[in-house]
Amino acid sequence: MTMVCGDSHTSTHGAFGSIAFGIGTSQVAQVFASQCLLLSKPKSMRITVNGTLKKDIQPKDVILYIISKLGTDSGTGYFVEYAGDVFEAMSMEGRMTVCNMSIEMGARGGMIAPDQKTFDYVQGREFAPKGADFDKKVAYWKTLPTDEGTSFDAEFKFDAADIGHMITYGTNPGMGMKVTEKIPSLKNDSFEKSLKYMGFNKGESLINKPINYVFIGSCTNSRIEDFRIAAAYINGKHKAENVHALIVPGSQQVDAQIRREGLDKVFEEAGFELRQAGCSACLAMNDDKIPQGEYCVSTSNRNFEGRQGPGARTLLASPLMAAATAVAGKIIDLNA
Amino acid sequence: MEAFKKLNSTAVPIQIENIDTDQIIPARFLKATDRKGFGDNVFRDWRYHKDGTENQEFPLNNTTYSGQILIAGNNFGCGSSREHAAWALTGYGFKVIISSFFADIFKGNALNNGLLPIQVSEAFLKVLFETIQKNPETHLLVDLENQTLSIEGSDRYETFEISAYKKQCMINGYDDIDYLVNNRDKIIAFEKKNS
Repeated sequence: MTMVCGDSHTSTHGAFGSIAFGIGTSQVAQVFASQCLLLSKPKSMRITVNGTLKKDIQPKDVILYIISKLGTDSGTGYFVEYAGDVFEAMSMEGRMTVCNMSIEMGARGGMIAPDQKTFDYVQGREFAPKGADFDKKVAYWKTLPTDEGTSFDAEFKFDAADIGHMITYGTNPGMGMKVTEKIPSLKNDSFEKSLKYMGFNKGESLINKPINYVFIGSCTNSRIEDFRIAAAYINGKHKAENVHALIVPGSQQVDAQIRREGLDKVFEEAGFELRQAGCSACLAMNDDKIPQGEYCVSTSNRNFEGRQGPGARTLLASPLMAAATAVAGKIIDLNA
Repeated sequence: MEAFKKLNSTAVPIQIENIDTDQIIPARFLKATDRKGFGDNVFRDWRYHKDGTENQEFPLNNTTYSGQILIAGNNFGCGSSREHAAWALTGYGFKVIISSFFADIFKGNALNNGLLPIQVSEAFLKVLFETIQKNPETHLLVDLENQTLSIEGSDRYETFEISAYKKQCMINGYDDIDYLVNNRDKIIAFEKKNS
């Protein structure tokens, strides 16, 4: 299936093995006018992560790690396939998080080969094919994975054991590190401008940095699994006094499911605010904005200058890291 | 779309890398339903201080710089797919953007809106920045037919790449929809064969 939409995070749907990518408004008009889209064929890239992730390492950590290693323009002109043990073992929600951020390394789209997990996730959903139709589709979907021995225009391999809890310290998603690491000391105007905006110094550790805002939401991390992970950590704890903690479901369905599972009670008792489903504080289009100069540990996808409100400073992280930050009121090492 | 063949203009340098579309046009200005008017808010948060006064240090507010060409650092237009970024730049009056690298979606959006993205080598980009910063009156010459970018009054120039199809579109001022609609019969025949 090919899916296009006027939003760069359309790539989320690559989790289902579909070709899904963002397009501009004129291209949307093109699709409506002709049901076609003029494109040049993208180059292919495979990113393989083999091995087993360490305890509590999240899909968000995996993709932030990859982008921190490859950079924000590494994927330009490419479509990415994520392969290997880590993605095979990952939930559908986690795969969506990974494919979602393909654009953050410049790739138009990213995909993961469909498997039994994919078929089980799709089966029984409102718009999924039913009965014999479904079986016929599954038979076809099983033909989609990449043939063995296929060559790619670019290949990268990582070891799952090297991935830790990630956080970004700069103003593009490639400026990320393990939370236990120190901000690198690069001599480069753009790098220095970025650190100046963030109010950080070269060689600095972010551990114990006070944080007043936490946002768990956005198309990267606002599915039920993300809120279960956050709630499991928060349960029985309370947010720190200084923290404004926003929980924003990605859709009305997720909102309803949060309430069905009683997670809303967990969030409420812990002092987290459950806001209306949608994009919210990811890009400051509605009232959920981060004030000038404030830090926000955010599960969203972009830490650009002013993305969460004019002058706001964003640190991208997983829902688990965000929940832990809200409880501690500062950045902590979850393994300490 | 306006046809584009040649341009002779001074240029504005913004020597920053990884300029994302959130900087070109912040999300809070995206609610308009018309393509016009975005130019007023291009680079809004870099052009203005919080109190609404102009940031005199930003090149667009520096009166020594002017022209229809923007020169920017590597990886221009990354991030959000918002086509408003291209509209904001054309709305402000730019016709050409020069960088050593463009993000994919932005590049497509620019070409679809008559805004020519010219990718040059890192070395030539450095020369351009130095030349313009030293003498803001310097004119750059863009020749789309011959795919060249040159510095007036010097022998420095570079050729640039553009797809043959997009080049024709820009030179003639027609867009993808015009092209696709002209191929309607072929599209229908293809769909019949494959359904």
